Amino acid sequence: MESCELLTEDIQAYWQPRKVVTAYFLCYMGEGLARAIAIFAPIFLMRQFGLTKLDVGFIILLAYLPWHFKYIIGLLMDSLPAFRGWRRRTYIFIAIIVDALAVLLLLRARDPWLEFLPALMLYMASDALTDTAVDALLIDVAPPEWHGFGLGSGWAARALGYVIATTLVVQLADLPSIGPLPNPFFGQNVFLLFALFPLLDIYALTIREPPVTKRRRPSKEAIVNTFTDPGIYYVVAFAFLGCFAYALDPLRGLFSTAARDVIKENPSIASIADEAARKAAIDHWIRIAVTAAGLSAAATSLILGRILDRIGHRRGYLISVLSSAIVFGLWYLLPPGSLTGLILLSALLGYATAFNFVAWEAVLADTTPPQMTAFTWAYFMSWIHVACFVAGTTFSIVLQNQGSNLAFPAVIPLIVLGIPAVVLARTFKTSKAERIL
Amino acid sequence: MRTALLTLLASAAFFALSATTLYFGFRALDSALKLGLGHTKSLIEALVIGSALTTLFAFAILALLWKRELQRKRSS
Repeated sequence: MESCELLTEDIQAYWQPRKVVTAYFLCYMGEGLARAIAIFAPIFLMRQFGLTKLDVGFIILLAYLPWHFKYIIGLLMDSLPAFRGWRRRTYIFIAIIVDALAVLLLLRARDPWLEFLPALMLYMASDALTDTAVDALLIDVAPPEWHGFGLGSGWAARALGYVIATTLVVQLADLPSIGPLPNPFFGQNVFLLFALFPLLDIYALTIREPPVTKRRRPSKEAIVNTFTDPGIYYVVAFAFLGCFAYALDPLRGLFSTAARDVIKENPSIASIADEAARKAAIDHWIRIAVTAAGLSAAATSLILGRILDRIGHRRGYLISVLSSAIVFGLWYLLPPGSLTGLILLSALLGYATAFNFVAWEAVLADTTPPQMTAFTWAYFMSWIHVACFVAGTTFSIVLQNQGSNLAFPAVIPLIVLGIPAVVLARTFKTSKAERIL
Repeated sequence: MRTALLTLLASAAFFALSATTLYFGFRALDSALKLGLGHTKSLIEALVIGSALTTLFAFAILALLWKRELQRKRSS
């Protein structure tokens, strides 16, 4: 722990706030835009190759495989030597190249299993590589009192990127021409766009990284401490218990399912006789709800990220839990089929989940040791999958049996588990961001 | 050698247990929620998540064994 506190001076020498935060913002914007592949690929696979929903789900599941093993990527990143001061940046550069290769393969794929799937996996692997590297880079160079704003800017960019991607990519792929000109991104060619998104990562290559001193090198002792230090158990408990709200992030699939149920009950939409037209109207309103939530999440992450740094990350986290509980509870009052209510609550949900997530990340960033930043960060983040599984299952069961009015409040008992967890979790780095109540 | 063997054995047991539990968990969820996962998808999902959990478990076991080793070194 002492060595972590000693790093503050070392960090200050390499801290370029404007440059680092801008680079992080751009990288996450690219990541948000790249997520459009998970929206477009299923449509493409069904249209082009006539695959069933089950096959498509299976392909998407396998494509996300590298994301399940991000901590292995992180461990390699921490352990392998740096080249001329390039430690994390090396992997960002490699990811840009791999990404271009994956896009080339996606453009030429003629078989869904033997060509498209490996190309998609390669694309997602480069995405996971960038994500691990850029997070580690931020934590390597950012002082703790900037973690909220730094991580918040990334989350804001991801939300913006996702909103742009959902409104742009699928529609662009369907247009044979743009005005009098042929559309260069029509059909399968839309994958060309995905080669452009990682170009946003190039700016991160200009960041100066601190030298890999002994205090920043992984060791047997560091691994032992990461898994056996009693303090770490509380932090791991917080990593798991502190992020249940994320399962209902409006930029994830579960929210759309709930929103669909509300929209379907709207009298003017239910009265549309033509099934295709009704489905299109429902999808249109889902996009509006997701956009409202995404824009709200972007604004929240930027503004509250900065405020978190001022009031203290753990104190901010507690406030975020309370606001999430209130917002989730408000869904109980949503009248069936109310589109205005849905949009309003979507925006509030975007705010609540983003606030909670950024505060959760900031507390964990304060706890990430410098010896194994990439590994430990990815290890903490991996708990989100388990938390989403638990919260997602609870939500789905209640949604199926009782509807969305009760499904959102049903997650509140899980969300408040973050309160004892954050009180017990002690952060390593001392700063004003460490204060609690 | 002993450390490696212990880690391997414990991890193999953990993998078998976690993958089996996850598989039956997914199957139960599938029938309750009608997700349309099917046997293959449930199995692959269980194997993927099971191996991710097992890797972390192996690290934890390794860390515990190394901790004892470090403590022995310090005391000698």
